[in-house]
Amino acid sequence: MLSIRSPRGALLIMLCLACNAQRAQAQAHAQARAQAPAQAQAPAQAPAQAPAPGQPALPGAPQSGPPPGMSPPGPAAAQPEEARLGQSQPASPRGSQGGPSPGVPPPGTPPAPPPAKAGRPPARISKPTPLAVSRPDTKPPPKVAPKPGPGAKDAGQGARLLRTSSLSLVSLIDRAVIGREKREIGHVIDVLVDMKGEPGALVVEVGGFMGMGNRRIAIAWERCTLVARSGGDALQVPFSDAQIRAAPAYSETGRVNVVEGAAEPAAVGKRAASGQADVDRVDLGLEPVIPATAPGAATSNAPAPAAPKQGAPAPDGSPDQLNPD
Amino acid sequence: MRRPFRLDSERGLDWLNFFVANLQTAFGPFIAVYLTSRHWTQGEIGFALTVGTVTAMVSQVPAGAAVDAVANKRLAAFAAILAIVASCLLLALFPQRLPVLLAEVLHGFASCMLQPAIAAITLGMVAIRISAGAQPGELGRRLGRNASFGSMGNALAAGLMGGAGYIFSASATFYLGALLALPGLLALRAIEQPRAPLPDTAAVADPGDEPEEAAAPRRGIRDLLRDRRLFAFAICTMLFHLANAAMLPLAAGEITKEAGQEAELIIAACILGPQIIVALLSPHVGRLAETVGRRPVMLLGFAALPLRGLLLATSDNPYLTVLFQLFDGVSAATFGVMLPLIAADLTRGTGRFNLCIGFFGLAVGVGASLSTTLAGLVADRSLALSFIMLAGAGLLCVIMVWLLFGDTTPRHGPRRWPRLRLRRAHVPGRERAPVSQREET
Repeated sequence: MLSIRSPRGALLIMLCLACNAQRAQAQAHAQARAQAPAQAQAPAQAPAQAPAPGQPALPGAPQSGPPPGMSPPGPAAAQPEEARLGQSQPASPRGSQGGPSPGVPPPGTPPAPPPAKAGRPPARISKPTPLAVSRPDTKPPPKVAPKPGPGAKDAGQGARLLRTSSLSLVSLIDRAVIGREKREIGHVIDVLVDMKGEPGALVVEVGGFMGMGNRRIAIAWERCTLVARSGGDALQVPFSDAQIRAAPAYSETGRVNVVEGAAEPAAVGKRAASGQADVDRVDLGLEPVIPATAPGAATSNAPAPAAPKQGAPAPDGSPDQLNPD
Repeated sequence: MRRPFRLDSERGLDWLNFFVANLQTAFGPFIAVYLTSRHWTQGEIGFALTVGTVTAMVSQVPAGAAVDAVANKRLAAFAAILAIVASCLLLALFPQRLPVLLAEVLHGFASCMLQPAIAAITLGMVAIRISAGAQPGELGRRLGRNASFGSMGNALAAGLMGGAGYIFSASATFYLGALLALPGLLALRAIEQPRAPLPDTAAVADPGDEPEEAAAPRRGIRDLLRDRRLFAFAICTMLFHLANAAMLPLAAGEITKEAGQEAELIIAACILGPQIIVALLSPHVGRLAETVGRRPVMLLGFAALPLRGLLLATSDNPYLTVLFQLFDGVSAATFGVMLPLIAADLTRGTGRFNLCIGFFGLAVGVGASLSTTLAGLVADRSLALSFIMLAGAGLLCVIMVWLLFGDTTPRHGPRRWPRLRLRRAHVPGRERAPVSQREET
């Protein structure tokens, strides 16, 4: 059952907050290591970025592609925070991820240069989705902040290298996911980004006993909202149990089947807007696109009736749900 | 039932099997769940699990040889149990990269030592009993009993650990695993150490043999590897696990998809049900293997494998799946008893018993890895198709038993190995009695 899984760092950005101690130690390593992947990744992204809609506006994007460690000049002013986030991010994500910050490039460079992180920052700004605001990318900063934080802001000596801020952010990996029935359906195990570096979907592991029989499904980023819960905050998705069961499995290779929801018009619009060529959107409508819905409901005494209920993609609409603040 | 030669030893071995079985349970796919809860990324988890798998595969044969080399098999088992307990604690306490990798390696090697060591202890005990007048066929009986207690312990441990993981936390599972293993150490102490006259317990492998066999010179490793029957059974072993390993995960995945809220319970039933069947069936398998013969029992028991595959392919009803999974118990009971038994047959008097088990263990690992990979590939297209493919591998396994084993081992018992009998001619003829006895049966 164990097969060698290639760390698909280029496409999968793993966001982790929790393991601090380890990360702190590994930081130096991670940065050094991360640079290599970044460089390899950059060229690949370049082509995708160019045609991408919405990107042109941002000067940083195009540049970021080719020269890995370079620092985009202009954009910093417009989106200082974002850029900074991108920069600090590399340190926190554990090694497997590809988006690293070129550590600290030119010591003398002020805030601006934070390395071009393959255009991720700009992309983020261009399309603020509900979750996007609180984007996991922002998590890293808190980590970094503690160290240079005081020094940077107070002494000003560190400010040359990093600008930091302290935000209230939470980890995504292993965050519980609850369905429409308010019951826990699984846990987030991964976050998928598109070619522009924007989060496209969350991989959620559902079901199983002792690791046996787990299914992984990809749920569109926009469908997920953070809600408070007694046992800790959880991600709410607007899907019923039956819908979750009917969802196609996520496979690490090839194209990704992303569960978008029932609202056809909305889904279509988003797809067009994001210009994602790499993702097959799956709409779990009343007429089940996936035949499994019916059998599943029929064979088991499961909450079959739940399926029709849907049509309330509303909850995910609120933009700032993820923002703890 | 016969009075055990040493009550303490007999019971000790029972409980050793019972408590040690759970050590294997803890390290399954559950590690992936646990590490995810520790915010590990999928790539890292995959790497850690791969390290564990590779270690287990690579160390099968060396670990077997190491157990052969150690005179005191109890010591080997003791060390292996301690190592596995340590790896459980490492996982629970330090879910960081280095400790987890260390735990995986430790567990990989230790579990490779543990199984041969327990089998060797069993052989030693059987040798003592036979020298004390027990009937031939004792080994099959005892191995059946091992498997029976092992699966009971496994079922209990899986239930407890699953519950602990659900109620408390994922790391509680590993603490519980470590805790459950400790009685195994006590049980080990209760087992009587073979006395001096039995220097190499592994050599006294079979019920038909006498302790004096131990004096026979060792066969070289090359002699062992040149043995056709070894490869025949290794191929069957590989095919068996090629068919078997992916079946439960596939079925469990299907259940998750088809069943509702109760999916987790159904999957638990799919795991525990077969264990109960194994517990009930193993003693009979052991007895039948000694009376009817190895080959017919294998043919019958292994046939449950393709049958199960076909049945699973035909239905996706979760409850029927639980029922079909019970066939897993039949084939698993057969395999669990047969592997050490056949290893003992093949290496009788050679002192290479554990090496042979390690070799078979390698075949198991290869088959299981291939199984998951292949089934995963096919399952993307059609689940039913992958079940049918696994069933095909199972059928091939049965056919191989039929052909290869039929080829080299027309009848079970010493008669099929003239080479060994030649050597045995040098040995005082006491053994003749049991041999002829067995041939009559």
